[in-house]
Amino acid sequence: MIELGVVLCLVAVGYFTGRHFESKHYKSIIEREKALAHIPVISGKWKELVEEGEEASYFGGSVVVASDYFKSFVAGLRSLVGGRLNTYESLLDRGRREAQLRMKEQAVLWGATKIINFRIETSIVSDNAKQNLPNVELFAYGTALRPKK
Amino acid sequence: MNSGKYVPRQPPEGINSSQENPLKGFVILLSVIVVAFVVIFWSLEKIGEYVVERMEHQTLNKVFASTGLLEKAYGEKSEPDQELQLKAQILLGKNQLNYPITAYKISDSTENAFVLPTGDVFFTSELIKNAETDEEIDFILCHEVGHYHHKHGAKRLGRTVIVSIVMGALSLDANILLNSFASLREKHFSRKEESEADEFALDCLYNMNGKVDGYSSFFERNQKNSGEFIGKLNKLLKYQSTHPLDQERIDHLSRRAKEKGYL
Repeated sequence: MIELGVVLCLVAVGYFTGRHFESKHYKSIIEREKALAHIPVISGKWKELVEEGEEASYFGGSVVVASDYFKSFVAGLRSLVGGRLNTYESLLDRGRREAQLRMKEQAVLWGATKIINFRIETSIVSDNAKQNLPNVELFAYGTALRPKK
Repeated sequence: MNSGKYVPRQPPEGINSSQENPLKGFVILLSVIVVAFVVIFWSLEKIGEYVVERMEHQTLNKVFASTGLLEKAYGEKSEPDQELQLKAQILLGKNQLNYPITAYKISDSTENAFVLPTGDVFFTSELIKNAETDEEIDFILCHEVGHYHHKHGAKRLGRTVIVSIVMGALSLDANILLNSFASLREKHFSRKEESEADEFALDCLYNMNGKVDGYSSFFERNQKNSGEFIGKLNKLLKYQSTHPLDQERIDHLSRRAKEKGYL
């Protein structure tokens, strides 16, 4: 029973801190996405996307996200009955968007007007299976284009 | 390149992640799992109890003896205590029971008595030293034989096996919940079994001595030795205890003794 009490405390801490940081992060993501929305990001890699007089450069943005105790606990229970893993969805959504933003921010500093051949990779950084707390790296990369100076 | 005009657009939120408060989902999920645990456990326990109830004491003894687990847990047994063994023989004779009960005295500084599923009853030296009357020892012996009579040891082992099997099939997070659930449930069963053994002991004591003197003296002494603080703590942690509260046991036995005309 002591173990259950400790777990419930961790779940509560995970829930409140996780929710706080998540809403703060989403607020920052939405603001930055609006500011960078004028740069189109295209997954295509056809040479037709590159216009005359443009130069290209590779950019990548990476982020490592860790799950909180609440998210992992709910995910552990969810695996018993199946269904949508809501708690991890927001975690990965934030990770993908943050990685893309980091890539775009660097590209914009370089003077990019668009990014082509955009890709996202996901990998598990630490497979902490015993504690069931996954840490995931999301890596966004693409080819930025700008007019030749 | 087909240069259609690019219009910056912020996609709406909530496409790739749920906008619902995760706490709601958590509460629903938890409720479903707890209900599932109750149903699974209840069904498996009933099956286990059904099987144990239908097994002869002798068969159960052979099963337990063949595992050798009991010797490993409690070490090599010494010679039976003659005085306790004599009491056990009288108890069995007066109650017309044909159980292979063997009584031992073990050197231990705590007051305790217990019975193994093989019918071996153990009294600690401290308990015998502090017992105020012979009837108190008789009642405790009857109580331990009551556990054997109701096959509590085998039932407990069955429940442990069920918990282990279910735990083996579940994830770590679910195991934490299951462990706590199983622990509370085991304690509930334990208190129920103690009451069953008390009831058996009361009848047994009456059959043995023709009266039920001494049925409450152990609990009264235990209550007195625990003191006020421990008493209050025990009340607070009632559902965490493997035994009912001493006062509850005294009250229950008094009521039963009056109903049966022993008092």
